[in-house]
Amino acid sequence: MTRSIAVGFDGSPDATRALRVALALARDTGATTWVLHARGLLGERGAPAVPPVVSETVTELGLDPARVHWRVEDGDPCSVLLRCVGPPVDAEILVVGRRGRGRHEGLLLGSTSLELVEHARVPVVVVPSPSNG
Amino acid sequence: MTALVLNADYGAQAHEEAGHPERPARATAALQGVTDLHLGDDLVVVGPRAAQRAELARVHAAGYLDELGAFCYAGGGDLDPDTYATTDSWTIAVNAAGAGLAVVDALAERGDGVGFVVTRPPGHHALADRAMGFCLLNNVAVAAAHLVDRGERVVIVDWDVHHGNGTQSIFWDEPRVLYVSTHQWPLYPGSGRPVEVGGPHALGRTLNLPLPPGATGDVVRRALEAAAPTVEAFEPTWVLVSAGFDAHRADPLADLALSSGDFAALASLAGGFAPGPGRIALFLEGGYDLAALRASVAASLSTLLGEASAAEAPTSGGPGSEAVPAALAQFHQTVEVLATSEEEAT
Ligand SMILES: [Zn+2]
Repeated sequence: MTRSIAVGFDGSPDATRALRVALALARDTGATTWVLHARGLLGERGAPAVPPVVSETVTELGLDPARVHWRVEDGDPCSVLLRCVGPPVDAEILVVGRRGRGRHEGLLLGSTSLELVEHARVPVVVVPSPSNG
Repeated sequence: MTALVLNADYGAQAHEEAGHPERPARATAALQGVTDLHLGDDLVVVGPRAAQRAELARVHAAGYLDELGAFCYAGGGDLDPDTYATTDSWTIAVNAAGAGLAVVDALAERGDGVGFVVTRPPGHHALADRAMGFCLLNNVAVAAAHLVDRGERVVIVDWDVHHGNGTQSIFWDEPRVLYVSTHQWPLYPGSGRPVEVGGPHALGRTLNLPLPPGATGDVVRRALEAAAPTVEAFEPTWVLVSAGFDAHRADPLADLALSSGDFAALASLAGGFAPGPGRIALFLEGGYDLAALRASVAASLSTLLGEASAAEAPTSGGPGSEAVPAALAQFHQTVEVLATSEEEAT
């Protein structure tokens, strides 16, 4: 049984698609979902609020909002997702969009999804961009 | 005393992105800080050189070096939400890493002086196989590995406001390098807790002293003072400083509250770790307020040179006075527990 699913969320269209996949997976498995936002060096300090699209998707899919956590962590997206395999998130599945904000496609360098697939010790779900076909 | 300064000659090449705080004007401001000291003949500008591939490969994965070079030559772009590269960035980064090597070699040859390397892009977040946090190549790590290769024992003092996760990771299990970091916590990159003490062959060779937002210079000074016994027990033959100046109260990227005078005090403490003349070099890391950067460079360098400095008064009274002893206790306890479990395992 899957108890904990983590999804990387940076506000990009691919991340929004990944969010939907993760929440649907959580609904089907009864897992808790952690929506993780990596706060980079240039990120806004303080505590960024839950983006409306997160609560909207939770409502739309009929999930219990108490089982969906919004979490902001300092770091680059790849390190933040790799770290959440440990406590308190203890993610058993990582979900990410194919491309983050303004990122390049097809290169290992600069691709969170490819880096994760390379380094993660739990299954990684990569949600493709519509242009992937 | 002589200052050996190097700013790699980048010519017309550009490592910059519109609106990004890690910008060429930072190097200019840091060099103005040096110029402000009017060192005359005591200023030696070391000739630039590019780091050789083998020198980079001591700390970086060969595949990463290939990819980064190719990425830049293909036009560059964003490597993560914080980090950019341009067509010229590979050449510039290789020259920045080489600048550190040139300064360290020049110091070793003279047996005297204080090194200051105006490295852009900065380096301490760069991992063996990944660029992050504005950093492409880990300049201070490349220099430390170069010294270790010659049989030296290197303490890296990282007083940048951010934890140098790249440097820590590169030397995680290297007993000949001691990594000491003071940094704001919580803050990017999210690493640097006191329980991170080094790998099985290097237990206690990583010392992290995280400080709360708002901490003033007195607390950071106390942190380096508290690190002194660990540094002395290590018996370093070289001191390399990851000298970021983004812990200054004017810096837009973080929330510590240091003045330029505090950096003078930190430089003095780091200088005290050096076993003799010509054994300390400062590497520019962060620092994004240009006036604060200029003043802080002048203050730290002048202190190391034994010159008077017109720095801002040192600060005190901020939060975090309990943070240093707590972190140190956690460090010692973790080292002890891990050492015991290692012993039991063997
Ligand atoms: Zn910094």
